[in-house]
Amino acid sequence: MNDNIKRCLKNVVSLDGWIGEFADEGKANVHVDVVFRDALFGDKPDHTVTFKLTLKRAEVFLLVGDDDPIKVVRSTIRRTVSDATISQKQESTVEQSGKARAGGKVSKLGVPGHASTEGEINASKKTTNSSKQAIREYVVQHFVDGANPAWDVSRHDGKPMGGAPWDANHEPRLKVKRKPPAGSNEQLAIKLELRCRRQDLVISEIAFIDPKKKSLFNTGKFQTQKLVAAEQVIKDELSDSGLLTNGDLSKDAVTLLIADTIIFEED
Amino acid sequence: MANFQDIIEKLLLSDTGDLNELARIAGKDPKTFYIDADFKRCDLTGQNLDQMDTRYADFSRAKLSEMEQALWEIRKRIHTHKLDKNWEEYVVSNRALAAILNVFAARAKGPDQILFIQETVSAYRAALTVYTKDQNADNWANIQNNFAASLAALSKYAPNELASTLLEEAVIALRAALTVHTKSQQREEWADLQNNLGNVFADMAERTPGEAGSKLHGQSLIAYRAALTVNTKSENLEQWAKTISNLAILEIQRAEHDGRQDPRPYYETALAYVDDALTVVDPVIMAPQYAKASGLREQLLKALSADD
Repeated sequence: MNDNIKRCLKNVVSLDGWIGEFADEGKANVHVDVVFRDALFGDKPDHTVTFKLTLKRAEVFLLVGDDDPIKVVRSTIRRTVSDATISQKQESTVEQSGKARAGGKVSKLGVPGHASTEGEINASKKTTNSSKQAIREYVVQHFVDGANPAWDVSRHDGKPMGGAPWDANHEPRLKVKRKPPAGSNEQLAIKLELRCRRQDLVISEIAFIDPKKKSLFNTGKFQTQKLVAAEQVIKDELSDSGLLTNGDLSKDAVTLLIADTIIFEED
Repeated sequence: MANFQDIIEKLLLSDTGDLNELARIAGKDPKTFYIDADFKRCDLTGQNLDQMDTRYADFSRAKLSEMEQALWEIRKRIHTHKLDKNWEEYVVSNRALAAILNVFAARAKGPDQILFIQETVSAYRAALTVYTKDQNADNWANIQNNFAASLAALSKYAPNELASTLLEEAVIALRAALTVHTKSQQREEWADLQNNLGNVFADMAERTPGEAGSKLHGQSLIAYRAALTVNTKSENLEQWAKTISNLAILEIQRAEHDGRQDPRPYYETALAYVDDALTVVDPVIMAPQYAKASGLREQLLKALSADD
């Protein structure tokens, strides 16, 4: 059973990547490809219940050791808060009228943020502002874990994650360069890890496979309370499946290692 | 060890919605089982989450009254501040918790009310483990006063021996506060503390027979009279009326202490206090004080006519 639940946990994300060509002053881009997915449990003959597992927040770590033949070019680390953005043109009309002297701050309607003007409004005029507003699907925040670069990923609306938080091809996470002596033929490799706190596991759609039991539950009382308890049992099972990086639930948030992989320099 | 699917089956087909019971069905400790539970869509009405560690749990949109929600949020914050050793916030949160619990206690009845008051006492006690007279004198004195009030409230539900212990602790707290809020520097606070001290001595006296009880009545009288040196009729009518009412009640207690043979002088003194209050208390502007004094007057007239 442990293998089944482990597989479910592994299915919740696809983690891949590659080290690009060392071209620009001996530097190479590191591309990380993360895709969040719905992991479904309940497709095996011995399964009696089904559920869906998703993540609402995760951390991607890029592990480069001191002894590795490459080092991170820190100025190239992608640090932007919002990576995956959709540009949208927003039209807004601002009307200013009258000759009254305004003593306080007068906010311009329709302009996002804290735009304001103080002072005299002399003439009636009409302006049209065009602005590009970023609608953030994902919030990606860089942080440092020891010396290792890492990114905290979540959806802007706090909902479970699905799809890619960034474009792996066009948005490399950072550049690395070889440590001297340059020109070594040693194959370069970087370890990637994706971790998640236990409270960021989202268990949903718990149901019996057996139609009679399913009907019994659906027509029974206290459904929300029972489902909360069942979710906790599943979280316990996931935590017990040997993927813990920090396992003392009574003291600190439990962190689960969801996926790890080693990426290499492209041929 | 049971297969987790079997446990889920047991849970989903059980007859209970009690979260503690469900944790036990799952073979888990209810105290930690829900630590990071997602209560977003859960109906928590009537659930007893008192002993549960819900540090990482999500209560957003759970069906819970706003006050209950606030209570749980504050409890969570206290826990976090303690873990983080953020003592300033720990005190602030404990005081906020006590304030909300006081509201709950006033609305609740029976065992629930006692539980709320007990937790209030604990919250103030926790705050006092951080604040010291040397470093946070004013706040420390305020908490001592509130702590005393919650101890006195709890004593009303306690058996005699425990009640005496709680009230003695309340006296210690009030006397501690009086070392900061002195008459020369904070007259109003000092007078409030004296009034509260009078109340606690009166509560103690009510539970103490014989000479010891009489002595406590005397201590209560001294404290109330001290309060009146600041809360005068001309300077602070409202507080004056409050203390005068307390004095009247104290005289009634004295009249009835140990089955006294001649209660009349005490009833008469009480009536004089009440009449004094009724001459100056406005029945509209100070309606609660007026109603209280009127009620006492009626009670006293009845007692005096029965004594004739």
